[in-house]
Amino acid sequence: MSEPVLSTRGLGRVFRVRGHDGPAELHALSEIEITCHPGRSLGVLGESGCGKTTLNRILLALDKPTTGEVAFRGKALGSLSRREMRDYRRSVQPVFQNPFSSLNPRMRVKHIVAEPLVAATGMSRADIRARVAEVLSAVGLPPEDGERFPNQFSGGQRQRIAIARAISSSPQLLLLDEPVSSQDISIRAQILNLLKELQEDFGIGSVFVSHDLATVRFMCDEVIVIYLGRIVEHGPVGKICETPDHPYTRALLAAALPADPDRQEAGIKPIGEIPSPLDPPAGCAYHPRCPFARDICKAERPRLTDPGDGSQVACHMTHAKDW
Amino acid sequence: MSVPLLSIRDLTVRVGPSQNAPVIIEDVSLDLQPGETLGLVGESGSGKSTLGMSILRLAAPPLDKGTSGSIIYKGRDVRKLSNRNLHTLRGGEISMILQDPMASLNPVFSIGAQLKEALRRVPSHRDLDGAAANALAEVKIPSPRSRLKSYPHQMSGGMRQRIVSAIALAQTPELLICDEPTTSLDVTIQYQFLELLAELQKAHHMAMLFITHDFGVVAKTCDRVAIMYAGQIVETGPVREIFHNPRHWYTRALLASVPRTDEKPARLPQITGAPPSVTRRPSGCRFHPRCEAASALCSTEPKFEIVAEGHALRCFHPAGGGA
Amino acid sequence: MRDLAFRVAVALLVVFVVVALIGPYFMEHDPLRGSLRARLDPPAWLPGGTWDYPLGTDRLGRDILSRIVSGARISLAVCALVIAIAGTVGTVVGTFSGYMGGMTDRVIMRVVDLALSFPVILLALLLGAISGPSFANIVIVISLVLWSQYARMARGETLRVKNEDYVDLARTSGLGHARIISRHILPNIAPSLIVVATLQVGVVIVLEASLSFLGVGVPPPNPSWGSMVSEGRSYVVTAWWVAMFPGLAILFVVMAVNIVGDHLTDRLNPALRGRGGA
Repeated sequence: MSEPVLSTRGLGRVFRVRGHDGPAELHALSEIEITCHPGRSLGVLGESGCGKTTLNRILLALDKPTTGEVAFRGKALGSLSRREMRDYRRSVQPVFQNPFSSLNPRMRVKHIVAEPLVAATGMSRADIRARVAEVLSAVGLPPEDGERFPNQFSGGQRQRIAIARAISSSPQLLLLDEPVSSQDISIRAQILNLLKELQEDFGIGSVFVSHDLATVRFMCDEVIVIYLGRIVEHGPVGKICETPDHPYTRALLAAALPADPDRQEAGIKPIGEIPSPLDPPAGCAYHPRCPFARDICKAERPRLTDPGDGSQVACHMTHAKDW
Repeated sequence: MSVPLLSIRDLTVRVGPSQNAPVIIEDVSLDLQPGETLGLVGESGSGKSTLGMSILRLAAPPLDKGTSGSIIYKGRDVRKLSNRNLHTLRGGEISMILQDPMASLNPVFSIGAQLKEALRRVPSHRDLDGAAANALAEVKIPSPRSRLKSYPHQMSGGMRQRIVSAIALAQTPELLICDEPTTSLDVTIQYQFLELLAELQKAHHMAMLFITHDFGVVAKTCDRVAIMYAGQIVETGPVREIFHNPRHWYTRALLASVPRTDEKPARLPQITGAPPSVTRRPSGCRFHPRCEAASALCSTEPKFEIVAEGHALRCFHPAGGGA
Repeated sequence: MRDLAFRVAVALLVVFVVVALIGPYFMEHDPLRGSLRARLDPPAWLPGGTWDYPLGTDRLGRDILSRIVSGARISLAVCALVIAIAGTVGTVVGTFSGYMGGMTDRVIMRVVDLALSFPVILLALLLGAISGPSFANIVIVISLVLWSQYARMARGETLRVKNEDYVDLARTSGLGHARIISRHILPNIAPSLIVVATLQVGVVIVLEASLSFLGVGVPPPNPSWGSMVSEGRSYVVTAWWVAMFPGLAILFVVMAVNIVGDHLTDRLNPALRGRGGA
């Protein structure tokens, strides 16, 4: 396999917050290990408060991990030279969830799209102009739209502009944070198809952060499932969406309601509330909601291990046959 | 067929009384039987929320003034009720649950106080504290008595939405209007809330009008479904019929575009274009500029016609048919 | 209805600016020189008044209309200078403070609080006592008072804009702080600052008038609306027009400014601008 664009080792992020009784520590992420290859799409699946947004920000160097590190082409972000840092900025580009807040309302579209080029490449003005027209047509917008302002576009068109901006500097990796969840349903397929097409055509890899199993199935090759800041399952998308091992992933599968009144609900019904990350349960963080929990689950945190098919699961009960 | 609980006929809502004012809802007719759940599906700007609000005459004053048609609830036209009768209808016989539970609850009063305010309107309740605790127990809030003293901010989103439901159900309504009640909830929490709603509905024998943009939610909760596009109902019918044999091209294309967990197509079938804004709706069939089957005929106004038992649509060239 | 008020107010302000800029060239009388034969003449429409002095004369026989027109120029100059100075200083300080955040922000904000709580009149009297009344003094004093309000507003708006996704996006593109501030922050906080600037025109005019009234503002015999009211004070009963007309000038201009400011607040308020979404 090709050299990874981005990888993390033992990534952790602790926030110091004011809790009910004095200062407290919020473990947003712990021991996250991921590897992103060009041309491959990694899904990050989780619910609110699981730390997926924090992970995204750390991968973008908008936030710093408290433990572990992010490496760009094998070299830790902190040790990159100025030139390497520019290369990282050029190579890793995000698309955020809400295109109403990700486009500066006072800038013309052509300037928005050109921003990564101006900031991280030495391109001439004429080249930049040509490149902006090129990426605008790549996302299905006429190049004349470059002269307009964001408020003249619908939500779907805005997200296209955000995508054009992200691909303008020919990145190797796109960090996609719920890019369709604020879109209308008839627009979602358009945007998802566009993203997939661009990734295939230009061999771009991606990290696709989402809470929706079905979207992840369509977009990704591999998936990590995060619960309260820790990876609980990691495997190829087919396995995660059809025969997941972790009880939490199985609950997510049951909760992913199919648009089909006759289809059997897969997985096991979810129960209970998501605990506060300020006060996570001991042992396996999922045990209070898990129908299979035993004493060991309350006492000891399970490690990510291979259940025998090359994937990884953090669950004590994976090998138990008497579920 | 029995007498419908709610019967809306030729409802049109404009922004103000002028005939030239922009139309939000156009010529909508629908029936709701006692105990039944009708899903109302549409994208943003389709008018689905306005329809929900109009039933209780809660739409903004200019909309209320621009309303024509009838809303018959149990033989009485809601639009002709005196303010006093309207007041007893709201929250009494017809209740609402809205998308954002935090906005539905008053942050400065305890849960118990807000619940008791609703319960007080039921004369048979002597022991208000007891009744409030029972109401919380019914929506499966653990240790309900002690929870009465809690404030909304001390609870999770899922809990809050249950409290909102408890308040909505306090006066045992016969019709519950739910406007995207799970959109702000996490998937595993949404699942549990939908199960709870189904249980409550059965226990109280309520009818529900379930407004949503999510076909998965419709498939799980509804008996019948109406699809709205640009202010009109374009297709309505039993859930099974609509999901397996959609005849309107919009319904068909929209259903096909939703990603699934059990398959990974190379591309999603997509609808081109975007839903029109209220002021720029096309004439004739509102969907024709985006429709793959459109002909010259489609720029004239199609009639809403019944094609099968309980299945009606607004289309000159219905898709499929037969099987 | 509101629209009408707005239009009238804008018209009034245009008249104010035009009069301030070119009015003095059309005046028959020198605003500084009086005629001892025409002291405390009433306005033209009262018995004893003449159209030679449409709004009457003051105790030194100076034409009140000419003095108001020439006072408008002084007021306008004070406003322009104060808003330029206080606006620039306040915007720079506030934007910097909000953008940096943390300790820097806390220290700067304490300084701003201090400035906000400083007794203005005392400061003005002090400066006046030291260097005597002068045009420069008045600009300095009013700027000292007002910069902190700009700083507050600029900081608050910067905090809001700083959290928008497009600022994060700019950072992920490797844009420097200076570029982020000039391209992303400033253009987006500008509308709010313009509103503050407009509303403060009224405050500046009133402050200038008050300080001149107290004798530490524009030095006599230069006509300032405030000093005119102050001089007219002794004749309120016998010759009310001396204080009344400059007083009305202040009232109208300040009211017009406030109406325009309110209107702009509504129009430029980001919360009221369309945000889209479901």
